[in-house]
Amino acid sequence: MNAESVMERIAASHAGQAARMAGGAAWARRRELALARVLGSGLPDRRNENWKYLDHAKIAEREFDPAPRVTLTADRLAPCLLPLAAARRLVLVDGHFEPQLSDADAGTGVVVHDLATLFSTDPAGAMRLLREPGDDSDDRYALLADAFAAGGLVIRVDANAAPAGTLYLLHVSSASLPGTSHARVVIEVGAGARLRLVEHFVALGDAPAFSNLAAEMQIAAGATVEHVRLHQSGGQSAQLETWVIEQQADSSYSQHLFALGGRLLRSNLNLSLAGSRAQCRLAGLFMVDGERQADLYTQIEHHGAATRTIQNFRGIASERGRGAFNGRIIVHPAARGADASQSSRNLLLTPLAEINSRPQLEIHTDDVKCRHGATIGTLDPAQLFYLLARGLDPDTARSLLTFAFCEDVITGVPLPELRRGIEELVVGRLPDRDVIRSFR
Amino acid sequence: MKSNQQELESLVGRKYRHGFVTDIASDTVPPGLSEDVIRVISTKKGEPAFMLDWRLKAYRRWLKMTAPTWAHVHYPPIDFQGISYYSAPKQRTDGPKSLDEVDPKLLETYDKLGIPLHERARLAGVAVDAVFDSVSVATTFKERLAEAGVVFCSFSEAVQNHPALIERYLGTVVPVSDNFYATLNSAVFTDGSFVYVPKGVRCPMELSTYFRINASKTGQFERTLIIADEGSHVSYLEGCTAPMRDENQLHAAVVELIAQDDAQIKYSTVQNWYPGDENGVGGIYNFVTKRGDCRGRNSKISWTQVETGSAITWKYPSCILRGDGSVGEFYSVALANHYQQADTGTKMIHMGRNTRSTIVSKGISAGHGQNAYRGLVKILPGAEGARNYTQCDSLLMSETCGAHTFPYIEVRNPTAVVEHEASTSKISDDQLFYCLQRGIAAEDAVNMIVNGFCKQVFKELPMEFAVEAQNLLAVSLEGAVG
Amino acid sequence: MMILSVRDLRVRAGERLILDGVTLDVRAGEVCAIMGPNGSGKSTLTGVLAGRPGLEVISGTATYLGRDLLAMPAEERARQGLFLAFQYPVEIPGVNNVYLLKASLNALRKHRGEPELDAFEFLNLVRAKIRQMQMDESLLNRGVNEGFSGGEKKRNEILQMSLLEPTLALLDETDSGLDIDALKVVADGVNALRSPDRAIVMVTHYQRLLDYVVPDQVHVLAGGRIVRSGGRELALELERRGYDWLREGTAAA
Ligand SMILES: Nc1ncnc2c1ncn2[C@@H]1O[C@H](COP(=O)(O)OP(=O)(O)OP(=O)(O)O)[C@@H](O)[C@H]1O
Ligand SMILES: [Mg+2]
Repeated sequence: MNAESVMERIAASHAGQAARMAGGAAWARRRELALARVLGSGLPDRRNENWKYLDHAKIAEREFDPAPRVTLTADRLAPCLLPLAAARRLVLVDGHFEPQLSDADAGTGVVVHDLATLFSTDPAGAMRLLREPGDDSDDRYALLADAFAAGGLVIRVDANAAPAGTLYLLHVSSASLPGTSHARVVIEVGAGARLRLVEHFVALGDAPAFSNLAAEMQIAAGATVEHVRLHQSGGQSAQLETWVIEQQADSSYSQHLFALGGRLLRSNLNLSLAGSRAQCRLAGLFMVDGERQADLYTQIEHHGAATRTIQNFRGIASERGRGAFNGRIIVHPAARGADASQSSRNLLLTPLAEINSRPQLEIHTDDVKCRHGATIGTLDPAQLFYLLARGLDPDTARSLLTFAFCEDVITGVPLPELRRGIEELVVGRLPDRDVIRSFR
Repeated sequence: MKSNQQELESLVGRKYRHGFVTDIASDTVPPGLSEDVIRVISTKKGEPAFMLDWRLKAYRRWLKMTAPTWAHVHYPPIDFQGISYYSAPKQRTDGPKSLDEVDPKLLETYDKLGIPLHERARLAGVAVDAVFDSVSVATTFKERLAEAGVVFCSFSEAVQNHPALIERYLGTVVPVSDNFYATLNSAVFTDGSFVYVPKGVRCPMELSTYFRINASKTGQFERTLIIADEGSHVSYLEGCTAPMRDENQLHAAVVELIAQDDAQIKYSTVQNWYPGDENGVGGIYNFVTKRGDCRGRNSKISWTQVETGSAITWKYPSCILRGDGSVGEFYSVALANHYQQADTGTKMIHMGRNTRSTIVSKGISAGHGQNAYRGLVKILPGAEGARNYTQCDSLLMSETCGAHTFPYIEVRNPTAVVEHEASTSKISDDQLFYCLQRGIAAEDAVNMIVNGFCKQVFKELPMEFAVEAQNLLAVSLEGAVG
Repeated sequence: MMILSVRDLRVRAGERLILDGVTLDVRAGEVCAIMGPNGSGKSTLTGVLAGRPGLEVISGTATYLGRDLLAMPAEERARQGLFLAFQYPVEIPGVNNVYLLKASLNALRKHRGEPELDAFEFLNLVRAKIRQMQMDESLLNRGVNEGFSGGEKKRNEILQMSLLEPTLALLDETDSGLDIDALKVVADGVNALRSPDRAIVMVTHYQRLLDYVVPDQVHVLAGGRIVRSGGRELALELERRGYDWLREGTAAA
């Protein structure tokens, strides 16, 4: 590891790039300020309750300079692509939008801007568009992304638009050399619009790359968003992401998050149910084996009346894998009639693996219905015995139950072909995968 | 339901019953904390040198520590120099030999509190140690206990008469440097209770300590140490009250429990410190460290608490399940009314094989009360076959109150099974209506429903106190429903 | 031929001794009924024979087709043709009912050296059986027993049994919770299985099932032992007199 401190290396990397970054004086100032705030307060560490289960050293050891830009051909991408019929593809490579790898037309009523271009052509507009991260430690990596803001995407869906098919947002980490990339994604979904978004994270190489994504989504009144997020990066990649989502009245948002890859993933979601009757459904699954680590953090704030949350997260850890779920639901005084349920169920399969779960409820009014449950354990012995008593192999029975455990999250995935693809990926991560395949 | 609601709201506000002040001459050390003050306390108590060293070590540690901020409670910084660290009712130098020597005013105080110290009037089968401000004023039933070999006395007495036990066990469960308030306690604690139950002895009666803060501008820092030797059983209960004062008073106690092989300790608390008035003025800051160490195989430590008092409560009675097959339990009812804040819960640290723990926490929030459950269940790699079940329910009784649930579940053994469930809701209108329709008055209906909600915990209390706890809850909730 | 032979079996669950010396023989071609008060250890007996975890054999033996049954892992017992219809069939959400049937059948066939059925053959077979059981086909594509009614679960057990064609079937209160028609269907299923080279052990509380499936032997299990054995008339007598007279009998004996 580099002898200099993390902060020194971040500062040095910034100094090396600042002159090249677009956006003029205003942006230069904003980045400088963001950097100063990061350097002043440092990155979160274990002493911070919301970050206590993350292996911060795995991030600290990364190279904070960007890896050299690579030019990718469509052939290079082809093997990674999900089989999504009629999807419009948008590709970010190391945080930079690549028009030549993307579909020119993102669908009726969908407008896409390359942030890199916007910084040059309309720096003031970009300034308004990009949320300025706060001082909260949960926002610290977003602040870091702000300090390095250079590339990314803005996606706008017009009011009442219902683009046919799926928007497929592919995040590629080139990972041929160690390096850090920061990306910004801003999505605005107009009133009454419908959007189906599939985000897919892949790494092409095995180098220890670090990707830091800061993203936000505004969901206007009555809009509906289905969001599938699939992390499938290679062995050494580290991914940090900070999503901030705000929902207006009568909007509906669903997310399926699959953390199936990478050396380390920390996913932050801060979702605000701002308008009345807004509802969100969050499902998540992490599978950590080898030395992998997944740390899923969500904070859902009920502000509007009669808002609803259903959260269902599952985790499986084996070998030396480490998984964490950290979910907080806050019901503010105005959120009368709020209804929230939160479930975190986890399987710990081997002696050296570790799972931590912190489901949390913070309730500030009485007219609510909230509940949560969490379990960490092994496979149910009664179920296992039932299968053995029907003649199944113990290994098969275990794999089958493990898969069944994941099914609960997978079944909700909106597109059948995507669902099957994800099923296949999950099965692929289980021991005895061939037997389970024969079951499908 | 509007009319129900109004009726319920009108039920608010019976006053704190134990809020009187006993007018008694006290020997009080002036406010302020320094090594000299600690020396004075130690000298007044005639302590052996090892105790003074221990206190000073703690004090030096404490100077380097900062008050914890992670709990879900808010209060202005405490001026530790504004507190008096020693206050004792003036009396004969050696302390009372029997109840006859105790100041009648004190006896009267305890009578008023419903804790008659005269043995013939005492609750059947309960031995009481009464701690008034900083010192123990009387312990009942000593002889009968002594016959069984059980040591039950004030901490000060134990330091004099059983220094070897104290030196061997003190600070072995809650180390001197454990946390800010425990360290402060280690430096300045003045009295408390001590229990030693020898091998194979079942303590023949309930033991109980009654804590009373009387003097103003004092802090109460007591220390309790209970040792249950191999195969012994003991059930212990503590109760607490304080006068109504519009200043905040600090109570920072430390309780250490040690259970050897096959020993069982049941520790029950009915905490009714002055909670402050309905505007949040005054009340006790109750910052307590309680921890039990299941050192032996198949040992068991069970915490039951009913917490209705204090302006702020910050406590997490915990079990370290070290011995194979050991069992930890935590049953809690915590009520936060008016501007009370409670951040309470437990820690179950599973180290031994086949260790089991159960957590049942019932939080009731009313008025502007804030009630947080914070619990850690940790399964270490060696805890083969460990089991935990946690159930954690909150009842909300006003628009302005808060109920929070912050569990931490950390598992590092694949044979363990940990389950946590929690729910938060208000008193169901349907339940209330059902009762009213059957002719039950609103206040009674609410009490019935609340009692039903707490039943799982109440049934863990020793019989003599279960009723007291129910009544206490009813009183504390008066005028709270809305 | 002897199919099952249990000798002086003593079994503990948790801290408790539940079976305290059970001796039982089941011959090929026989149907034997086990009756006895609640909590007497009937499910413990069927469970220990099928290899349920959490039961500890303290002493005694169980021989199945001449082999030491207790030494075999649970799946091995199943593959050797021992079938347990559970008193409380467990729900396994996420595992498709029909997939389980197929995996189970193929595991048994493979063990017997028979070729696995292809999807088409399998489905035809299942369809035929499910009609026999008068079950709704939609139950096939649900999770195993997930949300099944009490009676549906029991029928599902018998469906599995008739598909797997076991040598020894242990039916633990498969008749409880069934409506009158279902009882008939289940009884038909059991009778269809009856053959000179198989045996059936039925745990039941009611004479009703025994009217349809006439037992060769009736055993009464009480206090962890077989306290009385007899022919079908014993069941009738129990129906009339309850268990008390037997308890007195054991005390005297
Ligand atoms: N793990 C265990 N620990 C302690 N006792 C147990 C355990 N498992 C079963 N038992 C007890 O053993 C006894 C026998 O149980 P079993 O299920 O075999 O009874 P049964 O004869 O099948 O009763 P029923 O007719 O009600 O089905 C019961 O009293 C039961 O509570
Ligand atoms: Mg039974």
